[in-house]
Amino acid sequence: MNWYYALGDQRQGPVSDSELDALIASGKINENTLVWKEGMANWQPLKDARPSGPGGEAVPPGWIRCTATGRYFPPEEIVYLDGKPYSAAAKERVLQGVMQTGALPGTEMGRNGPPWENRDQLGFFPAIWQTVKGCLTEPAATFANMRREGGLGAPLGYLVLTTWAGGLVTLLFQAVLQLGLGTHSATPQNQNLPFPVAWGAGFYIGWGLLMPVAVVISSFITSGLMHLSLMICQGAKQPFETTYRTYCYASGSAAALQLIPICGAYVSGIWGLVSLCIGISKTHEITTGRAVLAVLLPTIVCCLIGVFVAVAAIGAVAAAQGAHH
Amino acid sequence: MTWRRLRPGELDHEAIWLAVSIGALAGAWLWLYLRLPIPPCTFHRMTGFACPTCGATRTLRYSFHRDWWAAAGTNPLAFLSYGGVVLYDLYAAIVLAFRLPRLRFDAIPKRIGNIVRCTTIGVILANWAWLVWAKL
Repeated sequence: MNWYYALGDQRQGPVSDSELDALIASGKINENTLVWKEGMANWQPLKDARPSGPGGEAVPPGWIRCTATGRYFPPEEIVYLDGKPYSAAAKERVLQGVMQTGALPGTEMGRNGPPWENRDQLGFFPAIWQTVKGCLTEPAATFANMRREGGLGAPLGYLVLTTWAGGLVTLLFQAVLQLGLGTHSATPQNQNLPFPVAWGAGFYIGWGLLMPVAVVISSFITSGLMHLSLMICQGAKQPFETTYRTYCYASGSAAALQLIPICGAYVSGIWGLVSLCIGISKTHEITTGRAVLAVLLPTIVCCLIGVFVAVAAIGAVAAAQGAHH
Repeated sequence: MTWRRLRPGELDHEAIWLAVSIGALAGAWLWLYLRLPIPPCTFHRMTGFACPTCGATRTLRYSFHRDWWAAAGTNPLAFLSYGGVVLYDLYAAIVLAFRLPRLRFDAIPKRIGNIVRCTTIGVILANWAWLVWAKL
């Protein structure tokens, strides 16, 4: 049976069932990819067009679902790695996953993104661009397709790259403005230094060089707190690894917006939060409301207390004025 | 709660959090040593009341100077958290150095989870009430 599949705007194929399995295993297509074969009236997502075993037939009793491809195979074609079943069709992806991350590849059918995870096929810069674009403009689809496992190295590398690039631009603008205007806020507190401009310049250079270290440390602390917040809200349906990966791709993509001068940092902050909330909801498979609650829990609590204090203060003033009259 | 070896491909939390906490502490020490500017608390500036993390930097500074009493009184929860981090780092360093089995909570009963959840929220709110009462 020959299949055609859609990749971007292009029709690809024809390919056989086994070739289709290999494409799924390599991560080039997933269960949402539109496919078509002779006899079908319209193009359909793969999961609807071929919902069962190879060839579209019903799954015979005793067949086992391959962890990497999501397809069913007879037991003799299955090997168990770390207690999970893998088929021969997934061999390439398993090897690639182990070589790249030291871990077995994603265990979920339909989750093989974001593009940064497939940078070997896409190329380095196209993978960055497509990931930034996907996370910012189509966060729901991108995070619904994100692998929830697969190590921390790839997302961390992406976060460091984009945040460092964006941060350096922001730092450069700050340095030019502050050192140029003579407002040296970077100098230590309560100290009258003999060469404030040199000290300030040194601070910015040092900060620029140390930024990747700070990004790595803060990424773990922030995502750790976020996972704790998710646990409090009963929204942690996946392990910490998933929260960390989501944080890296959402924040890393938003950090690229800092390349826009002056307003980039503000836009990045807001857009990053939106992307993060959507991402958490899609990767942990919880409602958007719960994801927003978990991400913004500390801020929400502080704001509620602030509103309470403000209302109490206004009430007290009004009461005092009433008593005066 | 079990003590077991890491599974292939499983995250090494001990190595990660040991490195992160040591890096963060080193960064904080350097920042305070150089007396670099500390960002003011927006919540405190807007409302005049302490936020749940107000005093955490001063607690750290007192801890670096081994003034334990002042550190505990400034932000008790931050002080306890720093102590918890030190204990965890000791545990992580030992299991990593001697390649010992790791402590893992593979399945937490829902009732226990809810108790831990409510206790955590209660402790954070109680600490906050203390900070506001002490007018930090």
